[in-house]
Amino acid sequence: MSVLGEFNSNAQRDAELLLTLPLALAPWDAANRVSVFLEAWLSGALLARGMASADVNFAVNELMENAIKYASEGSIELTLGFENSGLRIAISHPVTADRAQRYREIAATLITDDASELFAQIIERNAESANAPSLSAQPGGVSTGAGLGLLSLKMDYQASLAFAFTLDVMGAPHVTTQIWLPSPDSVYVHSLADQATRQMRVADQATRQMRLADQATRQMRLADQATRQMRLAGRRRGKENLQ
Amino acid sequence: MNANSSEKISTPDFEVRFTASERCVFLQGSLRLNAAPEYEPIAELMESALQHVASSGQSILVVDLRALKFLNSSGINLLYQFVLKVKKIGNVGLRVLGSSSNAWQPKSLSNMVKFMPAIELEIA
Repeated sequence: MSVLGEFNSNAQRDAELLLTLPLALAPWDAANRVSVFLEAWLSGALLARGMASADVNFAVNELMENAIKYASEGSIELTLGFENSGLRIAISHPVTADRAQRYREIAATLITDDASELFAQIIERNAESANAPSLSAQPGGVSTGAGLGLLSLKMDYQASLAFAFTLDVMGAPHVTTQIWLPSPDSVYVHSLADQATRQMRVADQATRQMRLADQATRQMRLADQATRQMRLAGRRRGKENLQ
Repeated sequence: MNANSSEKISTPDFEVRFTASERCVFLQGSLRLNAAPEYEPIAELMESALQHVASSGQSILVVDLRALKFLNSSGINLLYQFVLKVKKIGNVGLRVLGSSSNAWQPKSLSNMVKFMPAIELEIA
């Protein structure tokens, strides 16, 4: 298995919802129907987390569109689960070896490149080939626009992306695309954690200063004792001289 | 195309309409077409609206997205391609109207300013 990004290998095990869609029953319109269904299904749970259900509709639609375009045969497996104050959506399907290679290249670019620069590059490249037919229409090809949906999720929805490329038991290539959509709560939790860290740092400094103050008090006490002993010694010497 | 004419593509899911008198292209409903080839008729309608506005010496074209509830990434590509076309023509301004009640619009339209700094992007 080769992995790109922060891939959660337990996402399928921990998922709260699993849909298996045979490709034969997944025409283009399935992307729309599945995303509208999931938006409605999860709306309460999303609302409770301060997440916009329309964002999930967009995300699932993009993942489903990609899967319908690039899956070679068999079934599309879609899982959803709440994780770390966000929602993880994973989609998995078989691909041809050629497409797996192309998809891996696109995935690597999506993970490493600056999102807004990559967006500008794709839009400008699409403008140059505006009248050329989409490569996705050609067998084994991947559209020049491939990745625009995932890029939009990364750039506009602050989603993190991850990919895994595997071989199934029959040795056929398989790709899993995962996205994690953060909830506003998770941003809130982060800022709370930051605040707590800052306050602990301030408390640490205060503790250190109190310790220094204690040391100073102890040293002043020692100095007092020394002064007293010097005074006593002086008096003793005075008495000795008088005798 | 005369001043009162209107061009329209309409399906049960969406409608795209150019109203010459308002110099406005309206996109409404939910647009989830499959990649650039399926978006081609809409791209052509918008381009002919742009040509109409440019050739009639008007200074600005409006694209009203306030009733466009959903747009997939291929559709986002269509809008950005259009922004590049308007910029290339040079003598026509572009006003894009959106609504924050469509969750995708504040997120995915704001990058337009980078492609065409003179754009008037109004998301109410």
